[in-house]
Amino acid sequence: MPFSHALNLQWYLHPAPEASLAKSYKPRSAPSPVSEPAEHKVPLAGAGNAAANAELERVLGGGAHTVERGDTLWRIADGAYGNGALWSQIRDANPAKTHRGGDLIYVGEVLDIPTLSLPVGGDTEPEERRAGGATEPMAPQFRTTAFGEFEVYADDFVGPLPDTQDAIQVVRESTFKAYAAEAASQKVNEDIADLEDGVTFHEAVVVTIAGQQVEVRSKAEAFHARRIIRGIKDDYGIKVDSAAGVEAITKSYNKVPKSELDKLKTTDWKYKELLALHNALSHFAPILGASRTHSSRKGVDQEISSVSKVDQAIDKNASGGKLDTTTLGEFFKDSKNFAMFTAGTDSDVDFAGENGKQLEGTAVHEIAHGLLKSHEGAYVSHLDYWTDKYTKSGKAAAEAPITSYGQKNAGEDLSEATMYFFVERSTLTKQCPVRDAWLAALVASWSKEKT
Amino acid sequence: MHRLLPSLWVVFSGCVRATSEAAPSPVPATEEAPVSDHTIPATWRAWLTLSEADVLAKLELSSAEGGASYGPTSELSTAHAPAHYPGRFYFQGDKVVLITVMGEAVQGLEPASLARSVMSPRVELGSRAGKRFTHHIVPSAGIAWSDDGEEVAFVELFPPCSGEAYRARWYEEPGTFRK
Repeated sequence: MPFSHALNLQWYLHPAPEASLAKSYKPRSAPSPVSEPAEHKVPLAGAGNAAANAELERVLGGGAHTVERGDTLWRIADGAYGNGALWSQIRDANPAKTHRGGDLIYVGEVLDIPTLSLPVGGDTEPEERRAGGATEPMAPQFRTTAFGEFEVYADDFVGPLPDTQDAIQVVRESTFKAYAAEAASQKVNEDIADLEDGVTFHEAVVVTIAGQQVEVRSKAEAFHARRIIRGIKDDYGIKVDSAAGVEAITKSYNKVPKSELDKLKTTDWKYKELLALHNALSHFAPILGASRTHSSRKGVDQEISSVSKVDQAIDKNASGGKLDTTTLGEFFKDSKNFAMFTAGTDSDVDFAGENGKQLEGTAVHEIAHGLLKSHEGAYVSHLDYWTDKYTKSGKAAAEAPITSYGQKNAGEDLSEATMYFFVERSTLTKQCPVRDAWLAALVASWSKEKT
Repeated sequence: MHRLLPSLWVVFSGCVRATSEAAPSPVPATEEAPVSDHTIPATWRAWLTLSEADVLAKLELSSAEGGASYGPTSELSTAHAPAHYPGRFYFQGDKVVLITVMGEAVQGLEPASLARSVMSPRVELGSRAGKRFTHHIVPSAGIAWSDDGEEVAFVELFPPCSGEAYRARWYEEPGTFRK
């Protein structure tokens, strides 16, 4: 898939209201009108001799910023300096906390905001941006096409692109051309093609994408959903296949009467569920798909090969087992499948008021059951909380799981901790530093190819 | 495989998966089966009658670890020496009050056969091992285990007691598994 890389990077950084940035930006001290020594004080390129004269300069930034969902270095710089183009100053001051040239930052990281000395009345744009001449790289072009809506930036745009908002893809010109080329070369799903362009539907419509029923509210969402489904298969080696979930449940709940199992049925994917699913899988990207062959999991069969949307689960594997309306998600080891259920679609059980985060978190939880199961023994050994996989030690001083749900057994504990590690790390860092450090080390080890 | 495992094969005679490669050759299904004294006691129940000191001696441990809990019961001490015995011992007042066995040691056990081998009435409870697991308790026989119909997650061995006593001492309701 020619453009999956660009999409992946964007999905590491989740959109959030602009208001959250202003709320989260907390300078350690108020910006001073005069120059003063600071650990990360950086004179701006092009500022010239003005920096040497305190009376002629102003000082911006300083302090720290805790990364929240939706943050990008661009937005943080915009909040700190009033100019997002200065994002690289923050990246350079935080080399260990920024990744992929600044494209990737993690929620919960505390970034130092370097103090910048600017000449009074001077331009806050760095030289490389101001040297851009007549082309204004800040001004994207909005293009509505038969293959979705795009916010297109020039290829020479400096810095990471803003987050994708809703169904509008934010891409560079070259990526946009790749989309166009693909759309021109492939037959577009007829259901999608029938949708009206440029309209947000009052009610969701169901389209068929790669054999899956997906509820969308615009043609752009439909095309985006299609790219997600294809990307999950191409990038992560996981097929979006709801029928596989019904098969997995039927196989695993073999004591339940057939008459009850026959009531199991697939159901439509919501567009937001596909977004959350892709976000969740992207956290495990180093050990999924082709990347796995260059990871610590090299040579070990991938534990997950399909993901499903099923209406209801089964409550217990017994002759009295019945359809269950409370299960949010479930992993089926023997079938290498995990299913998301209707009960989870609008849930916010772990993250009050944040359904999107919950959907992503539930998916991460189930993925962890599959991909991290082989690490449960090491996890138990590392924690004082567990005597073994199923037994709490009772040690009063032991760090407790991040949720009460994680107290059921060590596998649930690990999945819960992983959920917080990836979707709300600041909470895990604060409440469960031992678990956070263990997971950080595990994730770091993924990129070390097994020899 | 563990050299003490034959003690379990005696207890669960007829419950061993025929196809299990991990299991050692089962001891004939009789308590009169020749069992080497230097490896295990004659039967698993004999471990429950030992004192803490005797168990520690057999496990070649100098002491048990205090401050342990199991389910609702706290103020236990515990010992585990996998080189000598696959199970974990829980002590109270110098007596063995519980043995738990899990992992490789129970991989050879077949749930259906295990259930058939226990003649006393069996009660099914929710298991902390997972949503698809069932916790089977036979308090009068001093045994309980969790399985999902295919695999046994863990086995508990304890002095025979009433169902109420078992629940009060060793069982913790896991609640609903929703993910």
